[in-house]
Amino acid sequence: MTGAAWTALVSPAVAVVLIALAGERITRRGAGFLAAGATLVSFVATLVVFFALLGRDAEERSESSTLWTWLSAGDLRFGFEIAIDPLSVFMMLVVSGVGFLILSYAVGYMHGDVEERRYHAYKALFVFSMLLLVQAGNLLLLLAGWGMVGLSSYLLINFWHQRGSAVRAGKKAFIMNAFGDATFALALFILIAETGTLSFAPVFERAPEALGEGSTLATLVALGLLGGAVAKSAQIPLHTWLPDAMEGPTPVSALIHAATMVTAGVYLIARTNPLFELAVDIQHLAAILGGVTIVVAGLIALVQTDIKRVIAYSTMSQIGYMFVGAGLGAYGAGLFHLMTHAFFKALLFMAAGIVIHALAGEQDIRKMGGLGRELPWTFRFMLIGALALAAIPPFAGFFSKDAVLASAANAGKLGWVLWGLGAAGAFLTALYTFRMLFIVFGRQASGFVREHLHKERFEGPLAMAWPVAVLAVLAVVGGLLQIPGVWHAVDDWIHPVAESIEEASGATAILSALAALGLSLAGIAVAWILYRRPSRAPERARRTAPWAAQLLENRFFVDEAYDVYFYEPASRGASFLHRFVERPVFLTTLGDLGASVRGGGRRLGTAQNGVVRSYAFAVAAGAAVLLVVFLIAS
Amino acid sequence: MDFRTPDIDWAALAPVLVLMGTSAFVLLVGVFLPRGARRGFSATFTALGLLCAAIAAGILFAQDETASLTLRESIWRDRLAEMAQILVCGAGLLAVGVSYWERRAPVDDDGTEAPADEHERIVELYALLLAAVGGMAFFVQADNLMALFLGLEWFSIALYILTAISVHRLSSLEAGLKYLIVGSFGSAILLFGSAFVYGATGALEFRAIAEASGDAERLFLVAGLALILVGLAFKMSAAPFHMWTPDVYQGAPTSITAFMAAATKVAALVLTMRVLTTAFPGEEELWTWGLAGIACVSLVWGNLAALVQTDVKRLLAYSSVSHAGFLLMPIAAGNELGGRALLFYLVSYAAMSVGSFAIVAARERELRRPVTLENLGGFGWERPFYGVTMAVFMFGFIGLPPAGLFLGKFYAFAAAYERGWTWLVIVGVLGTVISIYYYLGVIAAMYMRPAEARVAPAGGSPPRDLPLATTVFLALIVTVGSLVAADPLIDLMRDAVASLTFPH
Amino acid sequence: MLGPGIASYLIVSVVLFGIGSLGVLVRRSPLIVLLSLELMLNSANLTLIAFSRHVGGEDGQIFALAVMVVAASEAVVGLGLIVAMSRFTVDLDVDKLRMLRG
Repeated sequence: MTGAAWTALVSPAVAVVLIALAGERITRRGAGFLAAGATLVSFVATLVVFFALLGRDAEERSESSTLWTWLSAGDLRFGFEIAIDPLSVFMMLVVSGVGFLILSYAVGYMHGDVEERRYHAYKALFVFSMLLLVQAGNLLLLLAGWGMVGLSSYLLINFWHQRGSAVRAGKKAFIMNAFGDATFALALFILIAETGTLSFAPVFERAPEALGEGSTLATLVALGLLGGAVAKSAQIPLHTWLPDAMEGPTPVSALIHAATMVTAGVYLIARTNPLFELAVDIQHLAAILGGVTIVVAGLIALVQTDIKRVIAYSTMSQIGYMFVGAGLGAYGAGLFHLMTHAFFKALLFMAAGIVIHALAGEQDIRKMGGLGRELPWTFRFMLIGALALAAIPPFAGFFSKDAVLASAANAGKLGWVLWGLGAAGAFLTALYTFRMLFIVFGRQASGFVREHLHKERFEGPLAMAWPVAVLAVLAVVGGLLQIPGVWHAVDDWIHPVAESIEEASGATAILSALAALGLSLAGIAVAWILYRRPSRAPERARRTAPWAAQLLENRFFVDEAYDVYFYEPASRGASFLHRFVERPVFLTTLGDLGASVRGGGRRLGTAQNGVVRSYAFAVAAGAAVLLVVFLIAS
Repeated sequence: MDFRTPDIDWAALAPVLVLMGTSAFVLLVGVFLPRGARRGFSATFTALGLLCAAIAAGILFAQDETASLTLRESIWRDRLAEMAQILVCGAGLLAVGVSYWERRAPVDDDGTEAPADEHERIVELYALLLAAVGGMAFFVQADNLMALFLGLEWFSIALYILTAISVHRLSSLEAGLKYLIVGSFGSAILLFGSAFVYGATGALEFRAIAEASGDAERLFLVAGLALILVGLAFKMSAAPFHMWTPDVYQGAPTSITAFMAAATKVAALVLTMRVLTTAFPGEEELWTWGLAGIACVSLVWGNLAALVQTDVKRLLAYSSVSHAGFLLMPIAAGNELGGRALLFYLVSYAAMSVGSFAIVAARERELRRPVTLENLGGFGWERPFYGVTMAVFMFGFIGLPPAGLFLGKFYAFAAAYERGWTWLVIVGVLGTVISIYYYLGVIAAMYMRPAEARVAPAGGSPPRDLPLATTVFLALIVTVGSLVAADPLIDLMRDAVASLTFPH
Repeated sequence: MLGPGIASYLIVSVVLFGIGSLGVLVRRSPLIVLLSLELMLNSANLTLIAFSRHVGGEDGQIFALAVMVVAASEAVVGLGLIVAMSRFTVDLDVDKLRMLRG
């Protein structure tokens, strides 16, 4: 079983190396199949591990396997160590399973791109990094995976490096993530100093004693971890990189910025839950940030005109639910939503990809319309995704979102506040999702569509169609895995690693579900009224509350605020330092110093005059000096 | 007269015997083969011989829990020697890959194309390479001043010839003759020192010297120690005994340079550590400070001189001088941590040396002329694999990840720090700071030179060179692998130096 | 013990070594340089043999024999190189070997 776990981890890395080494010896398509095949190997290996664990008692499902110790300094040991436990296997299933589907889709989507091989290699690199992140058996390795997913995300966002906006988006994502990486690393330093280890089990065992419950140190550790989680999962206030990241190819958005990487923050909170439970305030802060993100992102999504950006904001909002779940201690609910979200969000992105593909790269929904008749299957897939996202039963999103809300309903006053935010989010989700759906697929075909639509058999290459279909099935049935109040497969599965709080039961649960469902239906209804056909209502709303429209269209001015409060002072400080420190001190003084050092080098070069006798002389002189020094010293 | 044959532990000699046997076999059989078959034959058997010797050393390493002596107590059978043998055999193995197609595109001093005789002296080259590795394998086992001197000359003479083996090129001959003159000068000094030590203690065997040194004639003993140190410092090209290094590295065929840079350092440094800790533990005050001084001079001189080089081989030669300084720091520290640090450092250092010279060779074969920073322009874009790998090596020489040298340097500094020599650490750090300039200069030359400055490869795209590419890849694997597998390697090195007793 | 004492031998050998090293340092003909190197090795041999007699062991003498072999091979390689160089029209002067420098 450990062998299978290691196979799952290593197989995508092997694909990267093979693609890199093979160069032009394999076809572009071959590189894609190699990457997808390696991910399939990972998935199968994960299944092997999964069934092996399933056959054991719940309490015996956690183990770790160390390949070798990398470094040891005193008692501190860092090993190449993976954790094989329900939580990591759960994440591995999502990452390799959804990853395999998306990588297969990408073979069709990227077909014909000049640098396809590079793309597939990056993609496999990402899968490896992500598996490293979820399989890591100690926090150092987790941080390595954490950094590497950031790197591969950066590489993939600016994959089309000829586009200035893509390069800028890549940089933005990298920098904001680096901020999170830094706070994460700082938290690890505290842990090393206080507990003397970074392996999961001993850290969690020693932490209560070494840090102290509710102490400042525990708060700092949790805050550092939360910083990492918030940046990676694009939660407020470190969320602005995610919409820009849509510059990458669509399968990238599906894989990284919807299904896997951005949910790493939720995984981190679930994984390090013993540390967060030492600093409950910070854990609640995570839930609050999640709750705020649900609403804010939902509001912004209402006015987006780029199809991928709508879905991107919806992703932020949905991750908000996961944060609410994990922040309140309902890890099972949070992770359950993570899984269903991976299904339906990847589905939405990939269906959107088919639309974009069919419209020769156009992403602006205002130019679309009437595609329901032209692309009926894509429409059906998208509809399934939208219903799942809007949490309409029996689609997957309903059960998982309801699980989060039912848990919130049982978590005291704070829980009720968050429940309120979540319920408002349900309305918004339904509204923006169906707005997009109606605009793109309903109405009359726009002039743009009539002109640019090019249909193929199956509405797209077969390679793109079948993964979408599989995901659609999963988006329909995936929710049945856990039904609040009836059975709790996910909760029970991850129970040994992270114990969830009880859900509300009985009348509260039913009321909560009904209320959320009602709000979702209301959202769909409003969308139907406003966006079924082009109407003046949105325009009128804009005119009555211009400030609100401004606020939403400028995404609450967060980017602008960051410019004013962080970028400009930093850039002013930098030019100050440049003028008054760098130029006089480094460029002039150190420059002179450098010149004189080089002068010294040149003089030594003159000593090296090529005459062999002088070399012998140097040896003789050196020997004489050493001899004299030794004789005097002794 | 009573004549007894000494007991011989043949297993201890196995690596050396395999190497010398293969050398003789390659030389004798090679001349009877048709010219066209010689390269494949001699390269294959050389690689096999080196591999077998390395495996033999590895098996011995696994077996030898304790050190033992053989051949009338003149050579050791211990893990230190076996680890060093594995390293020099590895360097030799990589050198086979570098040299395989060297003759196809010979380099001339002034860029005029020399006649390409692919088969010229190829058998001799490989036979001598094996002999040089054999000499080093013997040298690192020495427990006796005579074995030391003979081993030293054994591999040195082979290296003199290898340096000069491109006889169509005056610079190769010049390098060979210079190496021979200065090298013999250094050996003579070492021999004279050995004679003094013999006179002072009446013994040639290391431990006997240590035992007798208590009531030995101090004058002779100390003078002898100083002269032996000079001879060894010469071989590891520590300043100010290094002046042959840039000339020889530049003039020698690049594959030979690659081999010398890696293997000679391994052999000379390992033996220096052995002879000083085994034979002169009583004089440790002298030699630790002496080596620290030499290390400082090497760091300063090597790094400063490297700053102004334009020829890449010469630049790397000065870099090798400065690394002699880094490598002497752990020996000078005279503690067990230093011993481990030295060996660990040498693993990635050897791989990176061979690898970087191999990449220089790749460029050389495209251009058919010596590689300078000028004509390296655009190389990183034209040959992405070599470019990236070279960048890894350059970062590694500075002491940055992903190369194992990152930790090696850290351990070397830690050893000096443990000894209480913070000042030496500071000198090392300053040396590193200076070195950043020229190492990054190589990367800048590969990637940031404008395309106009590029010299077009002679005669279209370069021929494929699989042995060379494989070599570079292996060197990269070892370089990065020594960081990835740091702890297991350091454990091995701990076993390797377990037979030595360190003064601190 | 018959003959002169150890000191005399040592003085002779140190003088020989000095002459040899001076020869390497000042002479320009590669042949003479090789000759001087031989002188240095042989002075070491003399030291070894003198000490061998002084301390009463045979190790030094065996060492000296081995050194002779080494000296001979060094000379062979050196002469071979000089012959190879004579194919190029260069003077027999080590100071003229200045292609590699800097």
